[in-house]
Amino acid sequence: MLIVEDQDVMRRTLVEYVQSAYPDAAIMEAADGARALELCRSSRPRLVLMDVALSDANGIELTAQIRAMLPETEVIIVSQHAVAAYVERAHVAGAFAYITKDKVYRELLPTVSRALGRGPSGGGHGDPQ
Amino acid sequence: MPITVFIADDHPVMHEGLTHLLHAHEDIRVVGVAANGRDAVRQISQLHPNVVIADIAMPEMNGIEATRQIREWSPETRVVILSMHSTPDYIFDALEAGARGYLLKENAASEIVNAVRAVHAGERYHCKKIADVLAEQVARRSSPNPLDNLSKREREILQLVVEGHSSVEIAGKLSLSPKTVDTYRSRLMHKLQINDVPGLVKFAIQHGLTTLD
Repeated sequence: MLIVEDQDVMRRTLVEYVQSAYPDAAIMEAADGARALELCRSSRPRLVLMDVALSDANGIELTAQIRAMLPETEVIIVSQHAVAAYVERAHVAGAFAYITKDKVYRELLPTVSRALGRGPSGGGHGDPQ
Repeated sequence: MPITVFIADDHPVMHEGLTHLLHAHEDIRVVGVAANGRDAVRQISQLHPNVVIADIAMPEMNGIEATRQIREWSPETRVVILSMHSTPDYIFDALEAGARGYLLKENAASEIVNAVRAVHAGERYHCKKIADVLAEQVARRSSPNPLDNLSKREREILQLVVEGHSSVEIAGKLSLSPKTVDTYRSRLMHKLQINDVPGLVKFAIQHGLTTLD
């Protein structure tokens, strides 16, 4: 699994959150688009969690590149805001789903589970809200 | 007494991430969180935390307006802005509103603890990228130094003139002819748009080339 997120606190927290639900998963991290593509090429992740606004790339355009390169890899967009045009473009780019950061604790793990075709094996945090 | 911290950010993932980071340090305790500026101000006016970590982009009331109101309702509380924005407008608005620190979300994990401790101790704390933006703005705002328009030789002659040396004396010191010294002297006065020696002396004092001694 690969988590692409430029904000380090957000990235670390997402990694810990997903890792607690999938303790056996190998989770890689990328803070920008270049590193994300590098890791996709070298490690071919099954699933990518993708931020939209990256310092060197647009996460939706990156999604299209990753899907073209690795058709088996699913991409879940984890975005700051639910802009309708972005959601539409994300689906055209081949994203599996589009969720917003304020709904991560409610929607991320069920979406990851659907994308991987299996549920979490660990305890998970649950929704703190 | 631990440093009490309040977190204002519209993303629960940030609440958890920051709380987790800060709780690893015994001298810091997170006392509350809010997902919008209005709720943050309401809680902070009652809790009076030592430090607030506030995002700028929040619903209902943004972090800059919240900072202004926090300064009003809880003047002892120090605000650190934690934002994804590094443009001068955001930074100036935040500092004018009363923020004591400014960090970028891209590298907050490594700096947030230091920032909390620093602003609590009465210092300002900005991450390197923000400090660079501020320095760049200061450099741009400063008026250009007229001395930069003068050549090295012109600056030498300017100094000797304002120190009271005649063209003949200067020519002797610099191994030039008096006529050449006069040419340099006219050129530098033209460049500085100064017509007489008293004007040159005043200019030289203002720009630190010479003193009144």
